[in-house]
Amino acid sequence: MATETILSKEMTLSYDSKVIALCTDFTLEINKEEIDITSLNSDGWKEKKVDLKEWSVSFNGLVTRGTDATYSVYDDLLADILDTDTAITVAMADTDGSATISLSGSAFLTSLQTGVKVGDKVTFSGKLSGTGALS
Amino acid sequence: MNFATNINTVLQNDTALNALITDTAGNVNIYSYDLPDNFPVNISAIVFTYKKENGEHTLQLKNVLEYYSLYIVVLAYNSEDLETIGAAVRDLLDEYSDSHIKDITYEDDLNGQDPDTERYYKTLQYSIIYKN
Repeated sequence: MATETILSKEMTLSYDSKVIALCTDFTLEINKEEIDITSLNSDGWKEKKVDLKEWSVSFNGLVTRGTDATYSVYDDLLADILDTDTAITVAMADTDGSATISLSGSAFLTSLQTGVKVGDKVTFSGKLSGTGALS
Repeated sequence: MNFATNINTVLQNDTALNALITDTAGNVNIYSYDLPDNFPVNISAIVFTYKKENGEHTLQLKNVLEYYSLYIVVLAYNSEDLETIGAAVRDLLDEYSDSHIKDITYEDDLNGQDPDTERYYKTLQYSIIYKN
């Protein structure tokens, strides 16, 4: 039985082929649309079929100053949400050699929130809405 | 530079504060954790202690920022000196920042007198965001 757990430190979230710098967490959500096909012949149980799939990634991180050639930083995200309407390559992977989790696709940056609180660091959170397949 | 060294350097380098806690022998009486044994009760001093509260972690890096509580205990033989030194500490630290001490917030203080030594004390508490 495989019992080796994957730790979050092994995970990366890449945006535009560069790892998002100082990302503190991210969540991948994959949903399938449900179609209710319940009828009078369903014997009291709902019946369903599934149709279209969709995916999105929400993430949080720490705001840093300036730009970085190696990493995607807040400045890149801000520029994209303001000025870019094209889909961006997004990838999630664990850095272990076997790469149990390795997913990528194209997505639009549809939300970017900046959090500022007195006596604390400045944070950002964003949402990437997938377009097309995640594979 | 670690946190304790950084704080000690900040306190040691302030000439206004140093003038208030330098004794007649020329010693700048700033200490961490505790006073030296048999420290004279009639000499003013500062003793600081600290506690790391938590750290800010990212997926790839741990402790990108660290959060500390800093306790600065001002000791003086009379309440006037105590208040003067306490005010000097606040003048120095309340707005201080450098490349490591990114943010410092004065939180609280506690004042009293030690009945055994009759020495007055004031404990100033700060919250600090620190970058190693």
